[in-house]
Amino acid sequence: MRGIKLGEAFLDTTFMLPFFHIDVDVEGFDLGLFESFISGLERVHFSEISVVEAKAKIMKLSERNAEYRQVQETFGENLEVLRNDEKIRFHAHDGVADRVLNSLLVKGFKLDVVDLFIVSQAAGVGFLLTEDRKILRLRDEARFRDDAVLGGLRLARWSEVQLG
Amino acid sequence: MVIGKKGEIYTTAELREGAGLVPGGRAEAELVEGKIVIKAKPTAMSLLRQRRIGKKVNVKELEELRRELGEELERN
Repeated sequence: MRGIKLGEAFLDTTFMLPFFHIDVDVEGFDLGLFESFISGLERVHFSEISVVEAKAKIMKLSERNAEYRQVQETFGENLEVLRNDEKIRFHAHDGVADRVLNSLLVKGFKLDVVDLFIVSQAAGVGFLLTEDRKILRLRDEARFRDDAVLGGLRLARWSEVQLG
Repeated sequence: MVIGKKGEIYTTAELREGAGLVPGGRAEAELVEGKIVIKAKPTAMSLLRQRRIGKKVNVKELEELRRELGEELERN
């Protein structure tokens, strides 16, 4: 996002995990840079569906690795910290997002159910940070770029975000 | 320690650092048996500074879980 100063960003579930003490293996990801990125934003947006997805991920990880049990146990406590932080906003699925979701369905974009919820909720914010390849591929579609509502949503992966 | 005209109390940097009180951060205070206890209130930013789990989660794993979760939602 060269030369673009972001005030607000909608973050996909991948970028919720660091708040629960889990780092992600994402190209160019560094926790210090992520901290600077978050610190520079006025508002950080997450979908409620990301809360469910993050918890499900942590439950699966805990089954295989005891290290994650502590994360599973403190999930609620840390979630409350996020919910009480003025900088963070959680999005429920509402009428506006549902209209966007329906328009994604009508246009026949190949997205998973969770992708549909996240993209439709992020449309109102205007910027979505995601590593999801299906979502990022929307950028290649003219019918996405040219859409009056969807076209206003910028999609970027972490390695494309330029800090400073 | 001198208490100011408006009741303000200034602590030392050592005390603030030890309690995790940072400029711009939030704190909560309560009276416990005649003592004022000030605690740093955790924020999203402070969560990022806490101890991490050693193993990193990769994008492929997350995509797989998303697909599974989507399928489960569609089934029910």
